[in-house]
Amino acid sequence: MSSLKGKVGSIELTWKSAPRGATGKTQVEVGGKKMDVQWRKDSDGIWIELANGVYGFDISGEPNEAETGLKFKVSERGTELGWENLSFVREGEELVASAEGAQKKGVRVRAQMPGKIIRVLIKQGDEVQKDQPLLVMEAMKMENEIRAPHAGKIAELKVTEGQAVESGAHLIILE
Amino acid sequence: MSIQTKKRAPVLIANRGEIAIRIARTCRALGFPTVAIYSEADRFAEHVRVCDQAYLVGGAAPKDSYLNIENVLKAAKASGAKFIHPGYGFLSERASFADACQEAGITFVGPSAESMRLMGDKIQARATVDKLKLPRVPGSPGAVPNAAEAAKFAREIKYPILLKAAAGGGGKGMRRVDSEAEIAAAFEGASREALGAFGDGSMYVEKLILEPHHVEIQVFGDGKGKAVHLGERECSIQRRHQKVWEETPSPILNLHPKTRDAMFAAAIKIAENVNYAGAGTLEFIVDGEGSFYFLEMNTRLQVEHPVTEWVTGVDLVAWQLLLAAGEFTLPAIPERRGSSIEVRLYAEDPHHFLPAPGPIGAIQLPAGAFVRFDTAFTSAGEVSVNYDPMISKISVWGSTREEAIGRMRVSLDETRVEPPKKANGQRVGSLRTNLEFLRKLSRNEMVIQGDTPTDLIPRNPDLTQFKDEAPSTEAAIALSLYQLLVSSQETTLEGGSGHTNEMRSNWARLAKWEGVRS
Repeated sequence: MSSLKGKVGSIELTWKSAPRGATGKTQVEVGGKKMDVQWRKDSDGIWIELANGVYGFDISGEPNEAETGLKFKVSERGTELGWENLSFVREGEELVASAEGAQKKGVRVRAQMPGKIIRVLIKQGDEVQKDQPLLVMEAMKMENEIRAPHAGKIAELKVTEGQAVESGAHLIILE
Repeated sequence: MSIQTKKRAPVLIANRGEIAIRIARTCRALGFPTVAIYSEADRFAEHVRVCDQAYLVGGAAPKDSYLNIENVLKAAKASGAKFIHPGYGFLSERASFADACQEAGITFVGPSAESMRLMGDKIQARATVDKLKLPRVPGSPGAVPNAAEAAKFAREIKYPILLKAAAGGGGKGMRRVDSEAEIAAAFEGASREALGAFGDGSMYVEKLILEPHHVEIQVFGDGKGKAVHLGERECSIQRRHQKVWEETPSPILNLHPKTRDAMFAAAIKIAENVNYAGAGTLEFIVDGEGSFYFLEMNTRLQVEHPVTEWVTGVDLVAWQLLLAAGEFTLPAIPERRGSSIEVRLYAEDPHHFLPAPGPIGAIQLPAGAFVRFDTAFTSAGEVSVNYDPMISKISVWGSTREEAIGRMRVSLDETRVEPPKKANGQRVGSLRTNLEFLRKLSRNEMVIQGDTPTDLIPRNPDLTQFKDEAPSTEAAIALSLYQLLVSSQETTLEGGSGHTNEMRSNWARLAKWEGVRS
């Protein structure tokens, strides 16, 4: 059994026991303070009841950059509050994740939507600057430039001009 | 003109999404039976469900279905429709479609083909406006064939300029050019985009007005030379040249009330001059000094018409239908009351505004006093890659602008759109929405102050930048709990029994109870 202690960002949490089920009641320690928590999980996220109120969150995950797990988008229901790229990393799992991440070099540039590659502006091995246009893609009848998320070298170019791509397809690996 | 449920001839709604649903509502209220058309991609779309009849008109691509005049008219004949309401987009501004309707003996709910030709084509419209001696933005008198010709005009009217598709709209085939060095590449890109989107790559050149505000006047003509205005809408806040926040009254015209009166007079003059019939919109640019220039006319209902309906109490679609049915008498200019705002909820990335269509797992729209939403989705569905990625329009009314903004803020906070998810919480599909951008917009200081230039979004990078903030304690508790629950479920499910943890424990309890009993 993995540890019930871990962090979300810099917030340290220790759960008293492994929670189970769609609804339940348990205790968590956050920053040395013990709190009672009741919950109700639903298909989009979770409701929690704390001593000072009831809070609902929509939660959706997607693979993290190293593709070793999920990172989550968390939005508080009925408010403007929301966060992206969060994950509860349990103690002892950090090392595993970073080691796995190190093996997979490079960041994958993906297609945000289905479309067609109409221009390839770089070639394999090119050094590119942050925000430099890499590809021109046509989707929804609009031409969209796909730009470098950071400076680096084009390790792999996975598409050619005229190619149709699916949403989420890997286009380029940028080192 | 009274709104009653009497038996009327059917109306075919040659559109899809929220506007088809919105038109169908008014048809039903007035007693017009409704006919939907749909493409293969829209078999189970909501607009199909709300109409009395529905006809398949072709494949997913717009040109095969919603733009396929032959098939749309076939559906009209088969259904017995006597009217065709085109909505906005698709066939709404094609004079050839209005002609085809007439030949088929069906009433096109809109202006005559002649006034569409006169005002719908940007180059023709400018000639009309020049004839009436109304101000317009300096530009090339006609379409320019190539970049060299475009550069010639650009030198005359001085940079920065805009290249615009002659047949265009919605920001497609449009480029800002700041110097001669950029014009060749910009012309090529814009022209290619226009050719793809409208089947016509011709471009014209226009001076770019600095500190511009986009203000439009809603008019309604009786087709006999009389027209009224229904106030203005300011739609300055745009991304990728597409409107995202629209309101009335216009904040810039509040500073220049004389400009407002002059624009109303100009709009009525244009509409009456072309014997305009039905709902139309005159688009103008207003600069920071309060000077205004005619831009173009949209010879159809606008996406943002609800804000006009909120302040005037007029159902514009009802007016359109009754005019088409010959039951309409043009009233006096309607009074306007209070303030209204509309935002467009899009399936798009909130940081770069790239379309991000995909399946919707759950949607929750706002409610409450003076809140309206026009939506293509009320439950799970899919934002199709084939069409415009708009999900819903949310509009609110307030007795003052401040009140309307407060109501909009609450409405946006109430709105939820979630992708479908796997058991571990992983999203399915690529849906993103601009909801968080809209929430930030409703809290932006410039917006609140009514300072709404067209470049408001680039001037406020915090609206689009992802802010890597530390989560709240509650969010950290909720997420860690959620992840623990999901992973305990995965552990329990090993072996693939398919039972949830809860079901399993119920079985265990039952087994225990049975055991006790026996």
